[in-house]
Amino acid sequence: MKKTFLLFSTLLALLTLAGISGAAEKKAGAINQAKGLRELTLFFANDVRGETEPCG
Amino acid sequence: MGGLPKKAQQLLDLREKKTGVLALDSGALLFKEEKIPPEQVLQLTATAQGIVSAYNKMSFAAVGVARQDLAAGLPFLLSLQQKSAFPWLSANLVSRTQGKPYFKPHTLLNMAGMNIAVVGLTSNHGPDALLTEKDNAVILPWEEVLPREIALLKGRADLLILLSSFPAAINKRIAEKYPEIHLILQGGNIPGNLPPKQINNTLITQVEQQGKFVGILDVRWNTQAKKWEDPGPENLLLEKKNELDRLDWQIGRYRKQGEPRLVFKDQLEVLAAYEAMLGQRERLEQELVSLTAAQNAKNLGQARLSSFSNRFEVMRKELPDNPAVLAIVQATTSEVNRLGKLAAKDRAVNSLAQNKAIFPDNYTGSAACQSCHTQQFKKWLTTRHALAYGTLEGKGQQFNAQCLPCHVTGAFGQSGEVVLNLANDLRQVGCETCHGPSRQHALRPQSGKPSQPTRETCLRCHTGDHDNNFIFPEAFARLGCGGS
Repeated sequence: MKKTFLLFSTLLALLTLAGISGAAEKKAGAINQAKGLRELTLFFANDVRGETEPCG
Repeated sequence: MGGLPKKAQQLLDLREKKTGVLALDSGALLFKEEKIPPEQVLQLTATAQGIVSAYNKMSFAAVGVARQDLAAGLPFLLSLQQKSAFPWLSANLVSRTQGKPYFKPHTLLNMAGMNIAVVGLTSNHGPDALLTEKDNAVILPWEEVLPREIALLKGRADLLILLSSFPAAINKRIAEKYPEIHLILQGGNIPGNLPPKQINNTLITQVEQQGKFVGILDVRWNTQAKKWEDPGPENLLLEKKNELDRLDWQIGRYRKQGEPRLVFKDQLEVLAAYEAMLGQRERLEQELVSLTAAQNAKNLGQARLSSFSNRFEVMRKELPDNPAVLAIVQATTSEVNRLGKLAAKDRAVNSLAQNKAIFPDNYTGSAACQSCHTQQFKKWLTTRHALAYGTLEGKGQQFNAQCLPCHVTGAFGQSGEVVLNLANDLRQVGCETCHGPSRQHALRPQSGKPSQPTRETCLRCHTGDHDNNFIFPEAFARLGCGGS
């Protein structure tokens, strides 16, 4: 019973922390938007030909 | 390999973490060369279709048209464009008679609260034979099209990106002439990753060509000023970080078989190379400490202009695969193999291929070496070279003409017809792969000795995309074929 409670509490704490961290990231983004700064992430690739040929 | 499903999963994870993720490719997406052998057209175009399906799933925003993308002909790319959920961009591939572009010259996107314009340029550096008379197409010099595109987009876009397959020197000239272009994503064949370099108000960057990495560029863009802050020591810092990553990768390779000082204690050359790398690593770490301190001091005192941070992510084997893209890749490879099998069957009925056991040129097969070089033959049987064809069979790729040359003997420079109909005794990486064709030597041993392999012999297959950081002296010693 004690163990289950401990496990539950740990999970709850982890979930709360993750939520706070996500919210903090979004808040930082909003502040930057207000300053006229826009945040963009570019994901770029070059020549992926051959990647569908897993020869071994 | 099989990097596409990993790339897709990484992109998905990034999109879950961040808003405003823009996926772009500067081209050379479909084919490796500008010309493809006629007998491989079916297999390679099937692969190209698979790649486009995967990119559709990954929601790429735009792909540039590079010369290699035209290898199966302009009509093929135009038909593939119909199946692409993203625009193919080229402002300078136009109709010869009407001057009208065959692809969209640019695309305008609204993302992260700003207007982003992406322009495509196709390199006109290369053989004229790329386009046929029937195509009625020409690739114009960049000077003829860029002024118009920039004038059109300047007032409409907060951020202007160019996807260019021109050589690096041309992209540098473009950056010098047009500071209105804020970022050039360069495609093409340069080895290694190129961290962003700032030229006037343009960043130029490129990710390594072989799909081993993806580039991730986080941009904080001031839409009023539209100017990058002075990069100061940042470029150098990035270069040093990348150098350290590469070095760690190489050191990891040496450590794969255990502690190198023990594993290579009898191979002084290999050990010396390892020790040199450790020394280099230590020096790099010290440099990074002082560069980071300088960067931190600079960040404290600077006003917020536009800035960026960049990283190149290695597509490591242990990264998870995206199930949807993995299914596309598997269906594509299965189709490619089916087409190869059909082609092999067709060839078997024509007169040239009646003799199914083809020994090209002066090749004889490893069995002929066995009687005189018994010890070497026994050793070879324990290596992965002896199982190379089996590896392909295991993956259902034994009819894939692109894969075969590195899994059999004597296939380099041969037609698809020969490669698909090699004698059984050549269906592994046998003695003659390293020592050259030796039929004469097998018949008359005193007539001349086969050659010794060099680093270049191995690098035909142990290339960066197949075997990153291949160590020649170590591999040569491990094979242990030395002696008579």
